[in-house]
Amino acid sequence: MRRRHLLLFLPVLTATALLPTVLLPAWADDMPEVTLTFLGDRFEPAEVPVPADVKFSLRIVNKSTISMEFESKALHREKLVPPGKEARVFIGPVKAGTYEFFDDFHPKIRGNLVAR
Amino acid sequence: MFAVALIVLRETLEAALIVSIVMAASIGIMGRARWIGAGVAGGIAGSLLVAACAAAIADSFAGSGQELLNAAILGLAVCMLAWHNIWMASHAKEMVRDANALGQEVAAGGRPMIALALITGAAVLREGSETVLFLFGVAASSSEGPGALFAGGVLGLLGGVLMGAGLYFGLLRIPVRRLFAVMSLLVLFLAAGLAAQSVSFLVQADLLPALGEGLWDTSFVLAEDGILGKILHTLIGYVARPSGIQLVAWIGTVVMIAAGMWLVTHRRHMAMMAAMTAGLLALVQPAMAGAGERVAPVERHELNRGTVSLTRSVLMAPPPAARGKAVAGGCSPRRASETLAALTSTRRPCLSASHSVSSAHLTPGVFQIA
Repeated sequence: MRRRHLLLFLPVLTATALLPTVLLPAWADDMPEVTLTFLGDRFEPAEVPVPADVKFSLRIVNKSTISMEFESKALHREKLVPPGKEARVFIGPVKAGTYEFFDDFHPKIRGNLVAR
Repeated sequence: MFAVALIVLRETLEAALIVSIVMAASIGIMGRARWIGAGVAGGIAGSLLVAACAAAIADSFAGSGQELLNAAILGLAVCMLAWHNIWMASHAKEMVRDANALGQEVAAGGRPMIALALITGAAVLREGSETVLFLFGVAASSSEGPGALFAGGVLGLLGGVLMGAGLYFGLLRIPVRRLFAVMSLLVLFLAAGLAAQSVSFLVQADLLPALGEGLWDTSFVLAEDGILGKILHTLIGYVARPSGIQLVAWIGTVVMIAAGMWLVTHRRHMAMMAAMTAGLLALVQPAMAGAGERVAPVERHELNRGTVSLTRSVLMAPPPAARGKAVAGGCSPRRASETLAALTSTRRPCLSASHSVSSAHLTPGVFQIA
């Protein structure tokens, strides 16, 4: 009897975890887009101007020949971009300020999102 | 070489810490090593697979495949940790008693062993695929020789495993009586932290609102990229600059798992809740069954030759179409025969579906079939 209750608990948890993905559609239209390019040894631009106080999408283009992972602790974003591919992450709304990011696979290659 | 080692260490650390916690949390369970080992092996195999399909995953779901995969892996781990913890709570007393009295492993009757494998598998999979891709990238860019690359990888892996082992043996020093309480708390916070990570991926894919970025900022006290920050990030979900939704997920997970643990240890209350739920269902069910159809529990179906007894659970069981209608009186012969056909095909092999209903007006709960 007790075990059955435990088993009942699982679908409830799972459903709760998945509910938002079902209920909320992506609202990606007419959102500002900012492009950031990874060149293998640096980001271009290294200081990326982004809008403050609105949600925007960051397009990350990997023009190098190796995988990179865009990561920002300040914004808790991490996105793997295969070589020659591009990817998109949604960010914000963030307050005006500077938010550091780096390539997780080459942590010395860094840059900043500058929100105004 | 050391740059490679450092990154592999960072990627390995999270998985190693989670595996250590799962090992410490399952102490005293027979066969745990086998399941945990299977989880790690499966996680490594899955990592290679995910790394090989990285480009395809990145392109799927309108570019959000990676986020959905990560969120799902983390969500699975959270559910399994919850299951594990609630199971432990319901068995804590006997586990402590047995471990004290016998000093040996107890058999795992009905224990969610698969949870152990899935948690470790998820942890390894999540960090493993990134490590594989990173190593491939370094190998392809050939800035280092294969020897240095291999040495760096092994060194980093070893470092991660050593730190995990350190945590494990540290936890083993806790007396058994207290170990269960400590592990419950650790698993609870671990699950909450992973849940916060999981929703963060959904925000990144724009499937959830952030509910405010940067509620506070404690990076000046403890940065997340440091080794201590990283460990705390894994263990309790420390985030220097959390968003609103991360906080909601963290607290929500703690509350839900704690409530589950409390319910199984206070069986009286659970019985009460179960009774309330059953009462509520009983109220709702007739309304859902539709007008004119009364729901009455029936145990017997009278046939023209003899009687076939069906238990109530049979009638309440699937297929859903049969439920309610099977026990409704005065229904049409066609409906009754459909119901019986459904029942016979799934539940009662002794009845044949070719029987037809002979009487148009049936007394409640009694089917006459020729």
